[in-house]
Amino acid sequence: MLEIGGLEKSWPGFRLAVGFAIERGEIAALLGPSGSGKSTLLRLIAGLEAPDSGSIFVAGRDVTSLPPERRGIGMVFQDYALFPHLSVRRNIEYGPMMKGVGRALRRRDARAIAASFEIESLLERSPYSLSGGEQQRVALARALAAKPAILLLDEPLSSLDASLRLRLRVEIGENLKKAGMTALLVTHEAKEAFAVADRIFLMHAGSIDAEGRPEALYESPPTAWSASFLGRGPVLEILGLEGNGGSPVAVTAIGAFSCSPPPAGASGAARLSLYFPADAPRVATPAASRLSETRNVMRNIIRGRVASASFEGKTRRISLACPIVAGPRRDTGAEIPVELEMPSRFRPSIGEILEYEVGPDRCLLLPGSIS
Amino acid sequence: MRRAADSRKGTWLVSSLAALKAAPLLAYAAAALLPLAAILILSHRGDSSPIGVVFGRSGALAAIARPRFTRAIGFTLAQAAMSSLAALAIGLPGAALVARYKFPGRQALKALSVLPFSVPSVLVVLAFVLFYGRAGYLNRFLMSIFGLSEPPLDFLYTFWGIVLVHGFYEFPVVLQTVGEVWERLPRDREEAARLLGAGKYRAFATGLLPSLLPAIAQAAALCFLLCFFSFAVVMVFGGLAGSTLEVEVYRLSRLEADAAGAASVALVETAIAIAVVALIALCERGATRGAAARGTAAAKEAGSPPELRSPRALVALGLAAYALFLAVFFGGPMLSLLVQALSVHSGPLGQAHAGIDNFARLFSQGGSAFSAALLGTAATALPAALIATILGSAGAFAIRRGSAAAKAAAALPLAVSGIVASLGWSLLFPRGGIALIPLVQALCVMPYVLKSVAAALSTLDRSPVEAARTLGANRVRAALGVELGSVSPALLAAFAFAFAASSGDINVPMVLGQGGFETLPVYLFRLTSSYRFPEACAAGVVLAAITSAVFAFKEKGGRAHA
Repeated sequence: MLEIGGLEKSWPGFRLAVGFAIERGEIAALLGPSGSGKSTLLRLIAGLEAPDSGSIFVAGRDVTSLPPERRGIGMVFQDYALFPHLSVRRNIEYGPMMKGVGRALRRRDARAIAASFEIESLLERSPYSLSGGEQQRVALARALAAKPAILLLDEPLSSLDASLRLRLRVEIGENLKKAGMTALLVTHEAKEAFAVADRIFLMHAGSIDAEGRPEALYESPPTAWSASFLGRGPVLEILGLEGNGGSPVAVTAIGAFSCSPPPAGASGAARLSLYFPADAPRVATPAASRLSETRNVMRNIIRGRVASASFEGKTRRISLACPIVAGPRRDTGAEIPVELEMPSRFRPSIGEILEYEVGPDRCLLLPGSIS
Repeated sequence: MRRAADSRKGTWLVSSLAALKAAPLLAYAAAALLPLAAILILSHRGDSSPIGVVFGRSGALAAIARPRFTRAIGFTLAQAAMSSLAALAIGLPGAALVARYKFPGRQALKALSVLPFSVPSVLVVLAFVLFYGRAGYLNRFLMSIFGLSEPPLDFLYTFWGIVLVHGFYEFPVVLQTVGEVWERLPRDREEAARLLGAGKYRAFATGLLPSLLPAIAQAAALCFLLCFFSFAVVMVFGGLAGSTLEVEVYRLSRLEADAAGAASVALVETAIAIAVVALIALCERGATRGAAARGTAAAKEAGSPPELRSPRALVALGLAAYALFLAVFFGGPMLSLLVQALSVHSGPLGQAHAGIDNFARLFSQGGSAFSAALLGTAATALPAALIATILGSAGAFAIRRGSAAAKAAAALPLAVSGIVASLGWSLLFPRGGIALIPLVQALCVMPYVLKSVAAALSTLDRSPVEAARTLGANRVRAALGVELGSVSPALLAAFAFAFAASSGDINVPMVLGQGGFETLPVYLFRLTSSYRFPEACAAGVVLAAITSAVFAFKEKGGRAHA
């Protein structure tokens, strides 16, 4: 339904270069930190900015050089951009009116859409008098009333307060599905993308770092950056990689780790990083740690001082300050923070030295680095 | 028990504070209404009843029914309307450029907004005579390149001459008022319109223009008011074309000693002005409302305007054309003033060369008149600026959380022109003499001071004051120590502005000056009227130097605040 091919746009200090496609009826999310270029990408697709090169196809039609009003694209703006001088009804009727739809038909359509969004009672009101949530619904209704082929949503929930955001997160997804809409949503909040999207494109520094279904991305982030951005667990720089094929050993600043062989596609990557899920490490048994000491290698052991421990409900997030034992900064007294997620019944005291071990099957080599 | 006593004391304090707050507003209303009342009553002593004052044989209605006044009313309204349209035509392209694009000179263009208030009208008159007059630079230039024997442009002393001068004098008001609102309007409404199927122009007309209209109307109404009250421009250029109510009041009271006639015209003039002031206030509310309606979280950031773009292609061309247009037709007159002031005509053939003889002559040849005028300006403008700053900022503090009535009271003095106020106060204090000049000037500038200080106060962060109160300062000390401290740059700027405006004012000293007392603008007016241009230009440059030196000072203060 939407095909982006080799789209590029650069300005001093930044280069956006992406290509991807969205299927009919699919809800996709562009997820990334602010400054990753996702809003710019959305504006390029909408025609509000011109790309340096590349192509944009909507429903099989090349719209790259068309003005915004002829692309068949709808958009919900971050601030909703409702017309303050028009009533809610006339806001909703605006799109059909521009397309030359007759008055009677416009009215009927507006009422039908308002009914499905449960905003019928607001139709004659001014946008001034609406709450944030109501404005959001009107903005969505207005965009859909113009019957676009695809709908773009730019951080549609960021203007709302936390509790409303949680509720509308679900609602917005339902409404889009109900309307059978193909949609592309931009957000910087992973949870928002997970809740709404069928597929997520993770954006980092102007390009798509990873893509996939929300569950898949969360369970096994495919890149070092995605694992770190989604907050799934520590990502450590690899100083040296020993052994090959079956069981590689990655040497990091805080110790050596036997790990799973990298997936076929990743082994060719220029750089690899070590990652394990934050909840994978287990408290090391004394025997295990002694064993490693006798062999003079602290294999798959994370040893460090508890710097902080914060209660997060079911789990407790523990930040361990691990001394650097390998590499150029070795024995300088410098430490690397490693964040772990432990059951919350476990209450370490600050300053306590803890030792964890993490199984080779949970230690993964991911392409890319976060430094 | 103790608590009850405390809370009683609290309410007493609050209510007395509220009364204290109302005091400046009462003073404002009095400043506007007292002279009007004086005009109404004192000048119609013959008809003792209030009904007679209006409807009597020599009452207001009878006086203004005379053809001379119906003509003047028509002329005043027509020239003010046309002048406002001219100001819109010159100012709106500038507003669009300033609101959307960044370019060198953008700040300077925005800074022009103080021009109508601080550059003396006599100076503008003189500059336009030198440039657009029959023997002016523009005509001489056109004659030389087209080989003409007669000057092609001869419209300065007509209706259209007045419109031209007003258009260039007041366009910065449009540029500033509209540009500021436009700059802050969220751009996404226009983009939303595009995505809903509207073309470029339709998106502008339906998505943006409606939010901009109140600001345009407000600017137009303000221009209308300023041109409606125009005095020096009409005195010089309107001689043959017609005269405005403001000029009529002056002529009747000072030259024809017809107090009753002057009073009638003054009352009619003020009644119309009050309607215009009300319209301005109405539009202003609409203008700020349009910019404020946004999403909830974004509303907090409404202060930060959208990003500006660098102009490209057609826009860059338009910008260059606009800059050239302003430089020639608006910069030209100003430059002529300087050139004329610095050229010396030697011998009967009028060979000109550069020199400072004109300045030297100001001080030597009967130069005591110039020195006296300089002294007169300082003696009136300094106290006027001081009074205006004190009253204006007191008013700004008072209306900050005030009601609509308070705001209306604060705006009321805008509707009383310099000539009318002078007339009223001189009726109230017949022996006031020239001591009334700074007082009346202060009252005329006060509404603008109030507005700028109120604007500074509204952008003020409340939290330091709240912090001061939690740290043990009471309400008054918090206001004095913290708020006054933070707005002091704005107060300084307001003082500078008030000084510039008062030293350039000609209306008040023209009415109230007596016994040979002159200020620089009056002196300048006398020289201009008797066609002594070289000396007038030299005096004008001195006056311009005074007002613009103060303006530079104001800029510094303004920037420190921003």
